[in-house]
Formats: sequence, C-alpha cells, structure tokens
Amino acid sequence: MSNTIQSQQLEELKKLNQDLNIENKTLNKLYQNLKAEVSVISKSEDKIKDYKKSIELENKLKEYPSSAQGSVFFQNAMVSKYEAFGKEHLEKMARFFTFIEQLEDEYHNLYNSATTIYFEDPYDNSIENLFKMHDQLIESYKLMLLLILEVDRDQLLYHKIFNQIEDQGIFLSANEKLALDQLAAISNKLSGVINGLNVLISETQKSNEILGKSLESISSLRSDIDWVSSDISSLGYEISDMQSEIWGLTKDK
Amino acid sequence: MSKELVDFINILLLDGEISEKEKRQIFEKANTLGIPEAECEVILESLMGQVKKKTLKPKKSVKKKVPKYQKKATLNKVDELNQKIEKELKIQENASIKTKSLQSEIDNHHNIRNSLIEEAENYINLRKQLKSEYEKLLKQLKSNLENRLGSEVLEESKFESKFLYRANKNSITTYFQNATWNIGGLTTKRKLRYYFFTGVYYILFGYIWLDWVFYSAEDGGVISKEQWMGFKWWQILIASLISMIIGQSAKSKIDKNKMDFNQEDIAKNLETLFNKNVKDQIELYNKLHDELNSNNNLKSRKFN
Repeated sequence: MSNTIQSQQLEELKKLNQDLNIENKTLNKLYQNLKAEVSVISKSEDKIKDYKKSIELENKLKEYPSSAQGSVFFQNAMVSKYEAFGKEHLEKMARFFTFIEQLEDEYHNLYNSATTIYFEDPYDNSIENLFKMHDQLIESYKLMLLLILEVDRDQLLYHKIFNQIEDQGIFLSANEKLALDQLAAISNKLSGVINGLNVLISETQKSNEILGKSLESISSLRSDIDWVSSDISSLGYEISDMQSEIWGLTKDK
Repeated sequence: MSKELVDFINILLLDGEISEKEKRQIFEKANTLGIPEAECEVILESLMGQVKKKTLKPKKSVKKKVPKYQKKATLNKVDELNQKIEKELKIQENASIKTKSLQSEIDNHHNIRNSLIEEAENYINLRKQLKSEYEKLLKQLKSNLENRLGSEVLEESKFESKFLYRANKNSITTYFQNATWNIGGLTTKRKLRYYFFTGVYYILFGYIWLDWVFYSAEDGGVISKEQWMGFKWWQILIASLISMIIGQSAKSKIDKNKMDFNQEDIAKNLETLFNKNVKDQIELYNKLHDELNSNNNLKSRKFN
C-alpha cells in the first residue's frame, strides 16, 4: 500500500462519509416532519372523537330533565295519608324527604355544570355524575312511591319496604349522616335497596303485578311510560301529571 | 229545640270539649227549660260532632307545595360541533397528503443511502490492509529503537496491538520511557564481556610475569629487546591493562544492575526514528481508520 493510494482512498472515504451524513441528516429531518404530520392526524382524530362524544352527549342530555321535583310531588301526594303513616313513621319519612331534596339539589347543580361543560370537555366528571344522580333519584322516587301507595293498602309489603330502607340508613338524621360522612355512600346503597325490593316485588308479583310494572317503567322518561293508572289515580293524579310534575316535563312528551 | 239551650252548649263548647261537670249543667238547664233528657242528648252530640268536624278541617286544607322548575338548558351545539369535525377532517386530509409525499421522499433517500452503504461495504479490504500495514509499521519502529538502545522491551501486551489506530509520537515516547527493559539479557552480555576481558588480562599479564621471572633477556624473554608475536613487551602490558579495565567496568555494571541508556536517550532516538515519513504515514492511517469507523457507525444507523 503506497502513501499516494492511501491518500486517495482517504479522500474517497471522506466524500462517501460526507454523502452518507447528508443523507442521514435529510432522512432525520424527513422523519421528524413525518412524525409531526402523523401527530397532527392523531390529535385531529382525538378532537373529532371528542366532538362526536359531545354531540352524543348533547343528544343524551336533551333527554334529561332540567328539574327533579319529586320531593314536592310526593309531599303533595302524601298529604291525604298523614294519618295512615302515624307519628313515628311520618318523622322518618320527613328524613327520607330531606335526603331526596339533597339529591335533587345535587342533580340541579350537576345539570347546570354538565350542560355547560359537555361542549368543551365531554369527559368531565359532572356529566357521568349527572347520569348516576338521575338513576339514584329514580330509585329514591320508586321507594317513596311504593311507601305512599302501600301505607294504607298492603301493610305487610309497606313494612317490608320500610324496614329495608331503614336498614340501609336512609332514615338516619342529618347529623347522623354527617357523622358517617355517608351521603354518597347512602346514595349508592339505594340501588341495593332497589335490588332487594325487586326480589320482593318479584315474589309478590302475582298478587301485585301492577306494582311490579310501575317499578319497571318509572325509569323511562319517554312517552311509552307504562304506569298503571289505577295505582296513581289512588293518589289523585294521572300518570302524565305525575311525570310532568316530577321532572317538569310537558304532558304530550 | 230550644235556642237558649243551643247557645248555652255552644258557649261551653268554645274550648272544643265538654267536661262531666258541664254535661251535668247542660242536663239541669234542659230540665229547667222542659226539654226531655233524650232530646238534650241528641242536641249535645250533634253540636259536639260539628265542633269535631271543625277541628279536623285544617288538616285537610294543607296548602299544596308548588314545584319550582329549573329552565331547560339550551343544547344546540351540534351544528357548531359538526363544523368543527369538518374542519378537522380537512386538516387530516392535508396532513395525509403531506404524509404520503414525505413517505415517498423518504423512500428515495433510503435508496440513495443504501447505495452509499453498499459502496462503503467495499472498503472492507482496505480495513484489513490498513491493520496489517499499521502493525508492520509499529513493529518496525519498535525493532529499530531496540536495536539502537541494545535492549528489548518486556511487554505485557503487544506494542502494536496497544497502539493500533491511535499511535502518535508523544504516546509512543511515553510508552517506551515507562516500559520495562530486559535487564536480564543485558546482564548476560555484560557477564560475557567481563569473563572474556578478564581472561585476556590474566593470560597476557601471566605471560609477562612468567617471562619476567623465568627468562632472561638473553634467553629471548619479554624483557629482551626481541618481539613476541610481533608485539613489544610494553604493548602487551598495555593490552593486558585495557582488558582488565574493560572487564572491571563490565563487572561494575553487573553489580549496579542498570541500563546503559536513560529516558532522554529514548526520546532522542525516537525523535530520529519519527521522521516525516513515519509521522505522515501514522497520521494517514489514523485518519483512514477514523473514516472507516465513522462509515461503520453510519451503516448501523436505523430509521424507524
């Protein structure tokens, strides 16, 4: 290997390396640009996903009532039955009403928050909480309705329901609930009570089919509500009146 | 029915109740007014019934509560949201076009790069040749230095492996200055020198002594004027003394156990050995190696 040849080879190698360096830099830059574009597509897809979620939520929220006034409706419906409850049970019912009023206040707050935020952040907690609160309210209303309907009819069923609600701590005083810091926990127990009652209702369904049906249908807000008029009319209301008064809906809906 | 009796009962019923005492007074009054006891009892029960009804009435007239409904929220963002979706779809479309164009450009550059890499792979022979030449140069350099200093370096690892692709004058000089030189081999040489010259000294000096003790000048001895093997006696004496000095010098070095050269000598010799040609050659080899190596790095680079 002579020096001359090696010098030439060195020059050739240098050029080759320079060319490779240039290609590598170019490729690096191109890959960076490609990643940026892929990121743009990915972010855009996420945004579309959010927008679609917002549209879906808007349609869903439209079906949700702005108001929950079941506590008022049931208080009015109960007036004629004060004597049937007796002093002790009436006191506990008052606590149940307070509990429902708290849920209703929370529902109103969540409704206001969810109907504002869904557009900007469809994953905000208030939206899911609103849906959950709505279910809890329906469950509370079911229990209240059952108690009012049965207090002067099927006394055995009435007491079974009453005891089951009492066992879940729903009749605790405000201070007791505060001490337990359990408003949310008690709300969650509602579904437990309902499940228990569903079994109860299922067992008595043959003799009390009407009541079973009314429990099934109250959760629906649409016009296909299948309430049995004989039950409700005993309280002096039509089905549509009741739905309308609880949720502030128009009768033709 | 006596109006007087009714008024009397109504007065007593103002508190809503009729005591036994009051009841007795009512019957006495009725008796006075000539109203039979049975009739009085009917009137009393009738009036008490009315009072009872009055007291129960307020319970039925509990005022109905009026629900306060909250206004329904205006939920009309669907159009706006759909417009936003349209806008995002356009952004995606543009980005997708750009992506395709970039991908095509990337493919082209990958092709160019691959051909350059193929070309780089052809330099594998040069790599082998460079190693062999480099080692040869280093070996030669070491051998020349050892010859000049008359000793050898005792190596832990091979000199040419240690400095392959990274030799330079300073590092090599430092290496040889800090190296362990083979003193054992040198001592053998010194011993041979000592024995040889001391032997020569004894032979020559013994001859002169024998000649001086046992032979007279008349007998043709050393002291005589005649030459011995062509040398005069005093010349042999000088040769004997020189041999003695050289022999003793070698002995003295053996005893001291030191090299004949120092670090300065090493530096001086290397300065001579590192002539311009050697220096240029090493520099070229190093650069070539760097370039080949840099080429290697590029080859192994991956793009995802």
